Amino acid sequence: MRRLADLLLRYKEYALTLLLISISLILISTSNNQQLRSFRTISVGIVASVQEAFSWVPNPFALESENHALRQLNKDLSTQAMQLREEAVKAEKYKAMLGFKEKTPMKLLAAEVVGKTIIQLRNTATLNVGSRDGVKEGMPVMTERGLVGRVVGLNDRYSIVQLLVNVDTKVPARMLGSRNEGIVTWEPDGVMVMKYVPTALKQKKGDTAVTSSQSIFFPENIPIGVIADVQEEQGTLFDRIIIEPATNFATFEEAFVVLHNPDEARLKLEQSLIEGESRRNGGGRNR
Amino acid sequence: MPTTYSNLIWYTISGLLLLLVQLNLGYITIEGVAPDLLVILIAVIALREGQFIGIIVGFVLGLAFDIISSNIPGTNALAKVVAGFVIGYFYNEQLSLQQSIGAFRFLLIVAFGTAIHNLIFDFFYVEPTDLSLWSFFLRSGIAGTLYTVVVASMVMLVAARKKGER
Repeated sequence: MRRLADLLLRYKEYALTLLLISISLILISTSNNQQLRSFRTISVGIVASVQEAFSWVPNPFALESENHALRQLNKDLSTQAMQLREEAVKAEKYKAMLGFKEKTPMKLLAAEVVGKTIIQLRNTATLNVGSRDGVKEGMPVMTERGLVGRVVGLNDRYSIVQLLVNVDTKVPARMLGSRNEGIVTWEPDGVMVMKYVPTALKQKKGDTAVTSSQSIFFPENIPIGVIADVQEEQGTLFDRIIIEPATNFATFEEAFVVLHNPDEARLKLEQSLIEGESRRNGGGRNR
Repeated sequence: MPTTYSNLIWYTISGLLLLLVQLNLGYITIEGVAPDLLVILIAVIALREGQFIGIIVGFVLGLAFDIISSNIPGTNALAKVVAGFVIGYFYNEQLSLQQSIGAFRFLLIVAFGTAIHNLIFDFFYVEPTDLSLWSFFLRSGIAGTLYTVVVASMVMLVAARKKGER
């Protein structure tokens, strides 16, 4: 340090000249005067020539900044690629949904899933459509792959869907191949099961379960899933048919609300019959 | 010769006066060419006080002139720093002020310093489509140098006369 100070003192005129020239050049370079264009042209030419002559010398600072810029670019491109991939998946999904909507005779209302639970016993999903869009309680909800559930609550903007993967859901179903009928439920152990199918009726793995005409709420022939396994239920006359759901409840993000109104006359008749039956049973007990 | 407080005051007053005069040289301008009185003052101070002071005076006067003349800031400062540096080389401790500036040697030093000053200064103002740097320097640089030397010769004559009186 002292040697440097001595050196500076010894050559103080040169050091001062260099310092003041530098200050002058900084002042000049910060000026935005038009008259400086020739100076800038010549300076740029000289600097470029020098840079070209020494371009073979690696500059660690330039490399570092280039490296940083490339890393940033890489990050941006990765994000962009990820977004494009997501858009492509969405586009493919929308294409499939559009194709399905055009082909099906059912009146469908497209909706986005804005919230859902899938790991509880009573799983539900929230859709961004409500009564102002024409949705009513009880309407079925499906994707292009199959049945999702039923609207159990709504306001003007949102609907709550009771999913198939909910222990309270019971759907009358039929096998497409064998025409055997039963009730599809979701069991607390996380398995979708078709019940009340007599053991005497043979089931084939891979057969598709669809909604049957027995249901008041669901239109006929909406796919529910395929038979994954057939188990004999001990001590009963029925098989326990394991169903692999057609819809992937973990990943579905869009759905259709089927604008299907239950047959009111049939609903009233069946409800009065059930109520009459329960009254009779209750009376018997009283007696 | 060491710089004294009174000298510093004299230099400051001279510098301020010359800055004002330099700004109002229209009445002695010939074909747009004017003498550079500030370079003459820098030469006088550098030959009296040495190269180090010459450089500082060059920068201060140049910057002050840039500010008050609305030139590109830094152009005069740069040119006058270099002029102070070059002229300061001719500083001789053995010579008195009258001996330094009261001789033809002073005119040569001023001519040399002014030529370098003008060469640097003109570099910033040459129009690329107008003239080449060299022809521009010949027109305004050389003419300006000669005019400055003419004015410097008056300073030399006054100093020479004082030197003779002693």
